[in-house]
Amino acid sequence: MDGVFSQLSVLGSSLVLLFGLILLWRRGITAYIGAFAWQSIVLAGVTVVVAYFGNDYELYWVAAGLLLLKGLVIPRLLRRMARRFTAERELEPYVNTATSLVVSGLLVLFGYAITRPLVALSQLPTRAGMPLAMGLVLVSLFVVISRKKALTQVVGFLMLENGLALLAVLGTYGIPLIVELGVFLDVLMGFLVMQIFIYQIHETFESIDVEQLNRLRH
Amino acid sequence: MTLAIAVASLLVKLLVLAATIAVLETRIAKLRLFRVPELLSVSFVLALLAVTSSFLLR
Repeated sequence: MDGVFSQLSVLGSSLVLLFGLILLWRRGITAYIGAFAWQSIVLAGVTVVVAYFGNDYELYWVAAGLLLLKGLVIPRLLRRMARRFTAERELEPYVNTATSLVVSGLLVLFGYAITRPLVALSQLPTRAGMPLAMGLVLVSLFVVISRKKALTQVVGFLMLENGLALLAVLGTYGIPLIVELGVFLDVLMGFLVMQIFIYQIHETFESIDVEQLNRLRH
Repeated sequence: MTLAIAVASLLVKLLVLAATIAVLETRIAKLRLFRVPELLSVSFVLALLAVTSSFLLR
């Protein structure tokens, strides 16, 4: 029983990490949004698995919230935003695609290294997925600092949040529902603020390339 | 009985993987030549992750 549980959680967290890697490999913003939506659906699936095997009924509500907010609402808002910026493809990131993929592989290895004491200490059957969640956090941080388009950075930030949620679910079988609701509200508010910023950047510079912000210096 | 279940699940797994790979490969059939290094680095990273997870998790 525990074997099935740990295998399912590792499978789910690997899928979540792979959807994060799509952000470095593809160039179109629609592909990023699809990857984010699918990643959130898989994350909700992992939460349901933990809820079922850990007998924690509150986690079903968390999974439903994840599915609703990050699987449906935010991707829909992102798509509506991306429709205005279809010409904005991630053509020249600061680090090119091949290098950034290799770097992300190394970052996942680094994630394994820094979660080693955590995994050694934990007795939970889900502990094997924790390095992958930490790897996703590092990879999406790398996306945020190495990509130029504001929309890509927003998706990277949302994926970072997904990685943290996965780490919380795997490491502690989820935080209390009320805290989780607060996090959902924070994510939604943060996303709306970033949306306003993107529209402002686009209005000022006719582009959502953050490179343009250097012109504000003088 | 266990052997029969094992063989059946192996076959199902292989079928699912084969279908997935076929779909993926046919969808990126028009990969442009200058993106081949990226494809190679993707496969390198996937292989690296596979090796890491199978060695470090035991």
